[in-house]
Amino acid sequence: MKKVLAITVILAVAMVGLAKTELSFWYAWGGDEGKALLALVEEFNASQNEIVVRPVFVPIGQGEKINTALAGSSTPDIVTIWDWMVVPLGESGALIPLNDYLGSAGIDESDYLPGVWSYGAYRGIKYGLPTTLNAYAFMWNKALFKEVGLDPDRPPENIQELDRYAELLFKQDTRGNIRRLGFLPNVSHIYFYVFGGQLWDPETEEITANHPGNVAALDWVASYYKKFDLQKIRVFQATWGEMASSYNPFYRGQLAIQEAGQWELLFIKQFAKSDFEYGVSPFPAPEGGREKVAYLNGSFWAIPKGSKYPDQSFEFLKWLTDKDQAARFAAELSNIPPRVDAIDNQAFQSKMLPNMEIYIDMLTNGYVYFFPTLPIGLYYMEELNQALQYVQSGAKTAEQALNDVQQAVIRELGRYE
Amino acid sequence: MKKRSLGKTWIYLLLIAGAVFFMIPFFWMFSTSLKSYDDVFAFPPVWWPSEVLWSNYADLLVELPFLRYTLNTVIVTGMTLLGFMLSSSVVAFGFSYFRIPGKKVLFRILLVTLMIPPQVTMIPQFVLFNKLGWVGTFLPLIVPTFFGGAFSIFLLKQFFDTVPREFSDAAKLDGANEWKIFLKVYLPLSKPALATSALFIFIWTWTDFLNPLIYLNDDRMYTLSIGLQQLSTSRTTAWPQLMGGSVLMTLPIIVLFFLAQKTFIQGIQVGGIKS
Repeated sequence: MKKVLAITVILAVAMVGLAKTELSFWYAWGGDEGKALLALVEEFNASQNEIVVRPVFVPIGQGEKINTALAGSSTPDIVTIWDWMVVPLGESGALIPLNDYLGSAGIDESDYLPGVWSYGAYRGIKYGLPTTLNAYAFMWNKALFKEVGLDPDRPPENIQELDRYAELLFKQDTRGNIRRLGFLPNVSHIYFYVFGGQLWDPETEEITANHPGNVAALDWVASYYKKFDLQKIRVFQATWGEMASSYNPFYRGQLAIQEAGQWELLFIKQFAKSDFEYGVSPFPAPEGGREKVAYLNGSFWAIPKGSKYPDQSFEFLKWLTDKDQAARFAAELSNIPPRVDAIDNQAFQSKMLPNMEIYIDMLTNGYVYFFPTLPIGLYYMEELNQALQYVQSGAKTAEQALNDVQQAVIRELGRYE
Repeated sequence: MKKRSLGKTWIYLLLIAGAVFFMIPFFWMFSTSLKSYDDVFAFPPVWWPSEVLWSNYADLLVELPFLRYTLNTVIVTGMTLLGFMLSSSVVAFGFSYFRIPGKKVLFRILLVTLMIPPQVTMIPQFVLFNKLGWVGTFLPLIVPTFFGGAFSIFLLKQFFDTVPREFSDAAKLDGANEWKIFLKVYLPLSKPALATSALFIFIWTWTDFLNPLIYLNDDRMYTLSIGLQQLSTSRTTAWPQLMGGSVLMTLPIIVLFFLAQKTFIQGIQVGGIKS
């Protein structure tokens, strides 16, 4: 009797299971961020009777599991991947192009922040949807500005002024050890754009590594490592504490000006002393350069070719990236939602940290760029890092180094096409 | 007399210094597991937190299905140990005991497999297990171990080679067949080698991240090494809790070492025959 009952229960459960389409969704957020996403998934599951999304935590890492699964054609229905992985996977045929889905859902360029539509796309084919965005801005410590006699409410107006500020704020002890850095350019390609250059020409769809703006910017970036001595900088940086703690060099006064992602607003609230004062602005640009350059990065959701239910998977992604959900998820992560209507959404606005509006303004009214999502994006990035090292050590001039990058990247891209 | 004891004192002092040196990482992990988040990064370093937070361990149990992850890890590690030990000892015995043509070539091929980087075989292996329908189960992690492991076969074979032939000849005279010789002569004499091999396998499997990550598709089946990753958000890591998890994860290895210590040290030489 018990057996019969058990079998009936199993059958009943199986029937219910069969009636709904089950989607396997690989997500990559732990801690509270993971909880926020799981809450959204539950809400979706409860909102309709057709689809059940089953989330599985899969750390992205360097794509070890995702690449193996896609190559071995044992795929989930939705994956979470880094921005640089989207196009290489898509171009190798592992992801489903989303253009048709987006088209029939009536989602187009105007729904996204300016410039974001081509993010994660290659030659017009969109292989994924951005989850949430990170953006970078210029941030300074007001107390240190006051200390050296600068107006704490006025950031440098141009690159020359930034250079002067950096020298004013620099401090070393009698033995020549660095005690404080005024400023240090860290993500060099931000300044490629600030100096009027670009990594990729979206119009002609060509690599532009040796753009004159890039050359000038790389020279300028390297000048900091020469002026303040690379070796001494490295020694000083070794004394810096963890970024996500009260030992962050920026609020400890070890670094007066920094490039800061918007998450720094949250870190400052969590870890800095309550009387810490800082300012945020777009990056200062040289004459003839670009104002309000906003560098973006982030992760993506994509549907693998092997998904058994691509239609339902898109249905879920459409819901997840829609304004309310995107706003809530981005607010939880202190990130920026990629969609215009999500930014205006109350769920995001009500949780917005002070100074976030400066980032939003840069994204909506400035010049937005992301590291070009090419089939060889990672290779391009590594080549650029190498170039910076050559210029720092004096092995190559900026022009030589970037000409070499240009050739190498074109050759590598040629092997794909 | 005095001189000798003085020499011993130095040796002990040196050994104690060495032991302390090797214990520092574990101590640091343990003390970090009891700190507040900000104390983790304090400079100068906080060796012992002023306020000991045992609650970090409680967080671990609340935040994660820690016991389930532990159970999964125990299952995978236990089965792996069983598989490797059973198969490798038999294969190693074969390589060591029997005189068969082609044995040397086969053994070399076995050694060559040790030199192939696992990344090369990862995808073909995955495709194979996927075709068998095993992806998403423990089977790809466990079943291959029953087909021998090159490293343990090598280790055990080298040890079996040192077992004097006279032992097996004597057993043969008493009417023992090869199976009995293996079980009653070789295995009992090889405890140190078996223990060493088991310890290596245990550590590799217990802490393995890549294989469980690739083959398991359900968080309820995750092992500790993947499960603990959920303590990280996109920008921060709950270090005290993560270190707490790591302490609990390392504990069995330490306990095992103390229990098996005697076996490692005893009988490095195989005695028994008077020459």
